Amino acid sequence: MIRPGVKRLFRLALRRRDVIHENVDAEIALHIELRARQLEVAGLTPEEALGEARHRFGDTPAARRSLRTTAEHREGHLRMREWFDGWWHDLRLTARQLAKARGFTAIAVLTLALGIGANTAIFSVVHHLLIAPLPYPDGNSIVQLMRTAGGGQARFPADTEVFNAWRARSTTLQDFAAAEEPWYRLGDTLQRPDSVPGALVTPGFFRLLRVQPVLGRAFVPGDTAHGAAPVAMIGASLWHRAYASRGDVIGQTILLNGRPHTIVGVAPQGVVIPMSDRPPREVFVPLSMDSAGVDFPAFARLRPGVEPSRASAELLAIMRGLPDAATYKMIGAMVARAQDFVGAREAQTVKVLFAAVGALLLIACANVANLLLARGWTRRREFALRAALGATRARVFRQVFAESLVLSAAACAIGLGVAVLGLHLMIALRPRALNNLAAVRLQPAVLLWSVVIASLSGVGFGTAPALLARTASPGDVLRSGSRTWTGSSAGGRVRGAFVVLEVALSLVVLVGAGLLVRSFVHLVRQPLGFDAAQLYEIVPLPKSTGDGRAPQRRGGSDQSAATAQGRDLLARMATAPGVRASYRGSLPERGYFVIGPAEIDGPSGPTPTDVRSATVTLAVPGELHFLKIPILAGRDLASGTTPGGSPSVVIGQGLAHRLWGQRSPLGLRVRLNAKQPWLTVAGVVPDVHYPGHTGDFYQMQVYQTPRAEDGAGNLLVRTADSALVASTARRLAASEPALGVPYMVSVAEAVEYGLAPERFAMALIGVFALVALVLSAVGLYGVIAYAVTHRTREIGVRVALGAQPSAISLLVLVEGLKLTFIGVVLGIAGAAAGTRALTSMLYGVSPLDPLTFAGIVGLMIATTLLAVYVPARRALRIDPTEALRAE
Amino acid sequence: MAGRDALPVVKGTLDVLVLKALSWTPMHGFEIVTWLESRSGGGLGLDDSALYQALYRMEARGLVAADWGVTDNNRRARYYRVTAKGRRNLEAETARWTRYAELVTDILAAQS
Repeated sequence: MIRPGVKRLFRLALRRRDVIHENVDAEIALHIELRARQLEVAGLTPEEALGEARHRFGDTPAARRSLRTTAEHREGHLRMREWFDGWWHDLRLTARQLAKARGFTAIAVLTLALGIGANTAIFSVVHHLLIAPLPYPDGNSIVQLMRTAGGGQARFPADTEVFNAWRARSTTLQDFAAAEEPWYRLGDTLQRPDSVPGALVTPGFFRLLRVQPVLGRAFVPGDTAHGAAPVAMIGASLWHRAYASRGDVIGQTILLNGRPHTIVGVAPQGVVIPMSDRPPREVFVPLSMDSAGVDFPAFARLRPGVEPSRASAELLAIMRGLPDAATYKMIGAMVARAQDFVGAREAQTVKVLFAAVGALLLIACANVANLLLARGWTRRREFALRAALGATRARVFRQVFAESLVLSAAACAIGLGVAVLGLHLMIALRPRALNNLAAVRLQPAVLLWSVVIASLSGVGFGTAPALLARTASPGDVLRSGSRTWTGSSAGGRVRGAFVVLEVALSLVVLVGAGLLVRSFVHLVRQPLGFDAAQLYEIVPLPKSTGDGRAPQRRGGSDQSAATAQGRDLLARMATAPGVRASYRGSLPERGYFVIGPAEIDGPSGPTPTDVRSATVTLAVPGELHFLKIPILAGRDLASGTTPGGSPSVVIGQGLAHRLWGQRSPLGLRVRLNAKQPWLTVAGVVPDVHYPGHTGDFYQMQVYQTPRAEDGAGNLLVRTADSALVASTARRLAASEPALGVPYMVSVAEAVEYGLAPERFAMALIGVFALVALVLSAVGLYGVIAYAVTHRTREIGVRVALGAQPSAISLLVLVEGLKLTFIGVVLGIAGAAAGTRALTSMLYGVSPLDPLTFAGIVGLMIATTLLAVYVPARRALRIDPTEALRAE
Repeated sequence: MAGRDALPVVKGTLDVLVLKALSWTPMHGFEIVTWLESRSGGGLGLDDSALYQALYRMEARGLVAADWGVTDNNRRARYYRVTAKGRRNLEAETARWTRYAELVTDILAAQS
């Protein structure tokens, strides 16, 4: 019995309804006919037999309709199964084909994975630093109020007068509060680890945050009244840890820096001062809004619908309307959300990283596009052949699509790994100023975004050749084969353009990285201006955890009370065993700073200058010598005042030049602003440079002997045995429990810390630049190698006709260098435009530094030569006879 | 041939009976019917159209597959055959039915 068709593995599902119905009808007809014949054999007349057969079938119009419907359902199911089977088949085929083309697959997947991973990691950091709102209800409307100088470069708190004016008159802001972040020593222990992050806050602080105490009450204005008993709130984590979450904690006494405070409330877990990257506070102490002379960070809430810019403008207007407005002439005002307050340098670093990583993703996409296009073009014959054999275009397209999909999926999986790894790397390398980076989590939305971009480029460029192949008829493609390559010149141009783009982008990233590296080298080599070797700074009280950039504030409430004892303590420490020499004061440029404009004593009275701010270092006579800062002119600081009554000061070279140009400043008078006393210049010293402290803001330096109201100051100690000094300090401190435990900072280490943001940016951008270089080299190699393979026959003909090997390699080299050249030219133009964004991150290097540009261009050309060299060598080895025979 | 007093096919058993029939050889619809009638000695009563409903459903589920072929008399007919999935289904259903029938028989026998 022959049953044709039965052995076929599958049938194609029917699509047209009329065909399905015909099929059903034919089946019914045959059935009834066969049944009737059977009945006839049994002895019925033909008419009776037909009637009975119909009856047994149940042949009514309703039954027929129902069968037809079922058959339609059936075909629907089959179509779906066909579709899934097709995909499954294509995916397996793709996996096999990709496994065969191992090099192609590895490069495409790794390239994309790098792009996806790096992007996701950096975006997550950007999100954390610049986008994530504060963890409070409507946290984005909480702003910090600041005064600015130097066009916003310097930001500093408002003084009481300005703050109170803002609070009284502002219509755009509400819920004013101020807060500072000292550390507090708990109990009567002397160990530093028992210091907890605390906060001095005005009573309105919790209302500002819209946070309720979990127990007890928040502060009320009465808490800060004169003579009120000292009270405190504690954070929930301290409550759990030290009081086992007991309810009777309210009313208990807690020793903060040795002074008893009554606990009135427990704040919820994780209350932070609304500035970026601060650890949660565990102890809160009320701060009077009226304490004179304070300049604490101030906060407020934007009223609904108010933009920060409008509030800033209003604050400025209020400030300008104050009675002594002249003082504030050079000063701006601004409100900033916590994320705006990320240090300008850090934000800049992150943005540059962001740009670099964007370029990297673009390069990766261009690379993958190139690989896929090249692969697609070589497979055009395969597509045409399959089309000629009856594969539908949709089917061919689907297979290509499946390949792109498999590649993208693999890239996404590996990219996720790269992202996790990259984030860990960044957290490990983070500068101290970005300490809370440790809290960064991968942002799923960001991952999705990168994945979509990468998949789109993969799928888009992967399927383009198949789409292009559609336009040509299969016959043409098959006939032309790979003998001529007219058909692919358009493809060649597209891919050439991608290589040009890659080279240009890599060049931009490389130049950026090169500039940062050179700038970093400058920073490291830059003399500090004083001798930091074996130099330690002893700070009498646990310092607040500012980010190190904010100059020290004068007189805190606790500090002034302890001044006398502190002075005594430091005096004893200065003579501790192991100390070679010691001075009391502050490190150069680390004193306080004064906002200008500075005025000089001109012939027609006080003359304002363009010096907008200056840093004042408190130094005792002899300290400059101790720090090994040479006196360039005049003399060292002396005790007492000059005969004219104004204190004598030593100023930095930079300030001297700005105030008086080439004139000798000795004996001339300056005041740092109209409210400050006149100072007489006694000497000039070279400027001190801390790495990262660039710009005017830090470079106008004044040294002055401490006045009575300047507090204890810190102790500067030069010693070979820092451990001995530290233990002495601790022992001495133990005898004065009312004081904080002093701690020692190695100045050399602190300077090194200051380099961390630069080191961070340089390391990451360096890595990106290297990856970009490798990727674009791979891209160029791919294009040239492909072209060589494609021109095998042509090269064979040339060799057969007697072309010299050198001419052949030249042919290939020229092709590669042409692309490189265009890319380099575009890249130089792009870099010249782009590096201007780096200006504020560069130190001692122009954004257009010719050496960097030349070096990077050289590196780029060398790399591309290497990428072209390999296929050029291969072209030389082409055997003419084989090449001519080969398809 | 089904008599007038034939037992109606218990719901859900038609599928397994058809699979059994097809497990011998691919057949077209009428062959399946005659196979079932001869096996049951005409003791099973079913509408012929119900068979086609069952076949279409099973084809959609992938238990059987169908192709147009030619009969001995050179007529175009739709031939059904069991797929691998259908064969597995037949085994499972057979085991289930046997167990079920034994249980029911045991219970009924014990009560009488």
